[in-house]
Amino acid sequence: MTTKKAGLYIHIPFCEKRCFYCDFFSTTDKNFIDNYVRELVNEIKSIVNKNPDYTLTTIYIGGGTPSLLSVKSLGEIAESVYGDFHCEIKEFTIEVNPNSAQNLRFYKDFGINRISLGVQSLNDDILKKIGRLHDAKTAINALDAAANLYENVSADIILGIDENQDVISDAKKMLPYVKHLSAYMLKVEDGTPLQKRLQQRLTSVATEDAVVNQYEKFYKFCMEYGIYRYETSNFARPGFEGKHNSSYWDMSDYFGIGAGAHSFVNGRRYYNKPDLKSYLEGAHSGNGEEITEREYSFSDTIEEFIMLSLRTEKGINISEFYKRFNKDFVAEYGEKLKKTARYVISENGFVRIRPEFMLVQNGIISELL
Amino acid sequence: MDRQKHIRNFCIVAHIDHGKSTLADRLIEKTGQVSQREIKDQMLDSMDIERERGITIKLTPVRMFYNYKGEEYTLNLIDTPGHVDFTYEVSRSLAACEGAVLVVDATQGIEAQTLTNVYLALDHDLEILPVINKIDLPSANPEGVRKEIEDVIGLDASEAPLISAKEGINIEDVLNQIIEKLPCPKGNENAPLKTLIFDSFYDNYKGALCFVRVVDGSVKAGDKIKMFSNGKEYDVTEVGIFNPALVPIKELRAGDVGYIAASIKNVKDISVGDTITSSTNPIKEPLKGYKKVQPMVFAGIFPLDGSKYNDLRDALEKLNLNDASLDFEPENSIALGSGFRCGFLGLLHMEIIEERLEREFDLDIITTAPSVSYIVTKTSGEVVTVDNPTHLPDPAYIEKIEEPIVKANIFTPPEYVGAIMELCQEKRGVFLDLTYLDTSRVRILYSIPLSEIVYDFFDNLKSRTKGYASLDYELDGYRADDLIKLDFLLNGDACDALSLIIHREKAYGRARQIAEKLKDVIPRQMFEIPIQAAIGGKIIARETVKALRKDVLAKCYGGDITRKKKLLEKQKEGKKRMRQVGNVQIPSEAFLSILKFDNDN
Repeated sequence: MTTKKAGLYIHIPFCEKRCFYCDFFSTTDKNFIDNYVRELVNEIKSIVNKNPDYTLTTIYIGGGTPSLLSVKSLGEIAESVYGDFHCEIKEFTIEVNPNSAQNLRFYKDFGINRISLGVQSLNDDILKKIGRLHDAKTAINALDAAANLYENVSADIILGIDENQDVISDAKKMLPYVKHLSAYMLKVEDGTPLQKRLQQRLTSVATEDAVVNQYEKFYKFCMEYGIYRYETSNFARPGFEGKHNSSYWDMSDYFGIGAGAHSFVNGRRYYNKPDLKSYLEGAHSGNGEEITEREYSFSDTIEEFIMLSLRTEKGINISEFYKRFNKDFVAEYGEKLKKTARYVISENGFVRIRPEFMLVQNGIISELL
Repeated sequence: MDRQKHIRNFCIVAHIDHGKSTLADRLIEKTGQVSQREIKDQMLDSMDIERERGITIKLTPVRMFYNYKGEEYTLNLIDTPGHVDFTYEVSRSLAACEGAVLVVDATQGIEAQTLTNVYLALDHDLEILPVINKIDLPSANPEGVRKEIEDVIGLDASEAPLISAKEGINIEDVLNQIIEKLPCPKGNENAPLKTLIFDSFYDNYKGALCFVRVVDGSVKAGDKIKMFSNGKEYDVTEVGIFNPALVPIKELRAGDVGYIAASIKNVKDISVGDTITSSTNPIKEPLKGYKKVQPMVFAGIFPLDGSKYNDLRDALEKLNLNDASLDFEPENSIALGSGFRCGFLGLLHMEIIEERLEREFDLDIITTAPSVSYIVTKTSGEVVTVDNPTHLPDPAYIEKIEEPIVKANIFTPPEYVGAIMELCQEKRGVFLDLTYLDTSRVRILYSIPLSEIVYDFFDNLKSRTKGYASLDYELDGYRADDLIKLDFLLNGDACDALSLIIHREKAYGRARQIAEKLKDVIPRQMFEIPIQAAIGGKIIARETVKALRKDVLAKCYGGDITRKKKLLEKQKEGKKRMRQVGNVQIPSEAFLSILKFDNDN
């Protein structure tokens, strides 16, 4: 009966300290870790009961700071996943903070085969500016340790923290250790300490032009060194593209467990309330208490498919589009494609945004929708 | 004749804020026409905008009764607008009266419109009764003002009542003098009907009503009447008076002010200034009417949301019912789509219409920069009138362009004379005269192009004189000047809604100013957008909107795509409010901020 494939995202909302830019759900109160892990196990059990016909192919433990979990806690989670889900795991990632990378070698035992390190920068001033607890040296040590233990290591880098940020120097230093880089452009989110500091003029971030320049330099650098962009913010050596994250872009099913985690299962999007207390009381998808913001219509799903596909370098897969929606994309969107011809290429069964327009995709996508 | 001896038809004239409406309220209150309980401030100003802005736009008549020395008198007060835009309406009111009460502020003395109104009243052979108001204020100088009225206007002000309309002081004095000093009507009740239409009004139940002053004869329900101008005949269904609500009475007779209802469907069928006579026993000669008022200021009004065109048309038609001075006709703009070219009496009139459209009809509108009406002589000898810059003929075929000139009458304390003259020079004014009325007041006369007045003259005058100067103006012919059409091009395509006719020397400054503003309000797009200001083929200013470089949500963390979805939906929604000029998209709101007056330059 296990015919459908899915990914599993596990959210660990605990952090030593919140970074200034972060607006994801996380807490610095670590007293509840044990209870939280217990509830994750409950949620997994209930989900499997409700969805017995799924096979997991990817697992991703993200946060927050998953590396704050003890080896024992991680073991409990892994045991529960393997015990309850039918698994054919191709990729099992855990996010690791350079500051808490001491357990790297144990992760192998749970089948983890990919490490995503939250390096963000290799400049101490910049790390301090965004409230990270580690310094560049710690980050390099963590990269080194991870690369010695795992073939597939990824590092995150944040662009635009500072007008004069030297992203190429950072990228060069990371290169020997990684097969994959995620480059995010800093966005000042509402209600974050960063926003407050900016309003008080205690700090500044890069201008839009500077961020874009940094991104373009970074992009060029990666291409030169054989790390190819496969999605707006993600770059990898061939064969090392993130499989779990790719399921987001290609609209494969994924379960999200833990407080605030999002799921996409059977054409339905829902999420758990981003609140620790109610999660610990069992308000989650396992107990049917997930939040569904709205019902998706057929055309909503099509629009989503287009917008997510266009985030990727390869673009919209025309035959996949036909398979899913029984529509000929080119016939259906011919007029709009003509209008956006300057920005969009249609070739070899795919429709994609020209690489140089990747950073202005929103306008193009909304033109196409 | 004895009946008419007990009637006084009068209006109150004053400079703005000198207390005209407050005095009207007091007179109504004193004569017991409206009980204290019903009194809202400024009874006769029935529109919200009138009350809020403290101005009178629409004239409203009211009939009052007053007992003087044991005899009952009927007083018909015809209110008048106090703003320069509505001079025309003032003269309509005056034509229905025998006398005028001139209110002068005891703290301010004679101002620009005081004089304009006095001249208008004298033109209509009205007896003028000066009244000095606001004597309760600490800075009041009633004796100085009394002298000013005598010196500047030449009226006998020795017995002018000293009043405070606000505090209700000496109001009887005004009433008594109205009866003693203002003449009564002297019509012939037995002569054939001769009636002046001084206004019209659309009543939802009674249809279009004529506001009339009966000069000779009488009229009652059942009578057959005829409009002199077009010969159309109607059966009178009702006649009545204003208290100020409409109150039907049996008959209107010579000397009376009231209304006539005659199943007239549309106010457009009533021509203000026309004479009504009897169908059965018509008079030979009509009364001296008024000429049709000519709009002075023109602008395009467009719905912010293009789909609201019909709503805008309906709203303008409704406003037009009671405001015949509003002119409008359909206009198509490449940039703004379908809308209307509207003609207004002046800037205030334009602002009021805009405000009423937004407030009473809940419409979001874009108004183009106001223009005046130019007389263009082509090389072929043909003469055309152009009130829309886009309709200006190709410069190669233009012999000359003449623009309307006004005679601007400015009253000011002497310390601002320098500043005012400087302003008038900047505005291409030609000096005419300067008179010291007394030590504290100067009257300056300039001949200035109306287009300069319409642009930002008034705000400038107020700010450079700390609000002390007052302005009035009247049209004073046309004058040729070096006028050109200034166009704005976005990515090479002309944006017609922004074109304007301007003096060549002023074009450079304004071009730069607007180009800079455009650069600020046009959102960055996928490509670089050159903004150019051009006179004919010559580019005189240039700015660039750089190409958009970042329009992406970099993070789609943990499979949460809701934010991205919402942003795209917002973008899609935003497109609906975009206007297209060539391949450049401009949010409607951007037009609003460009076309809004820049008052602080």
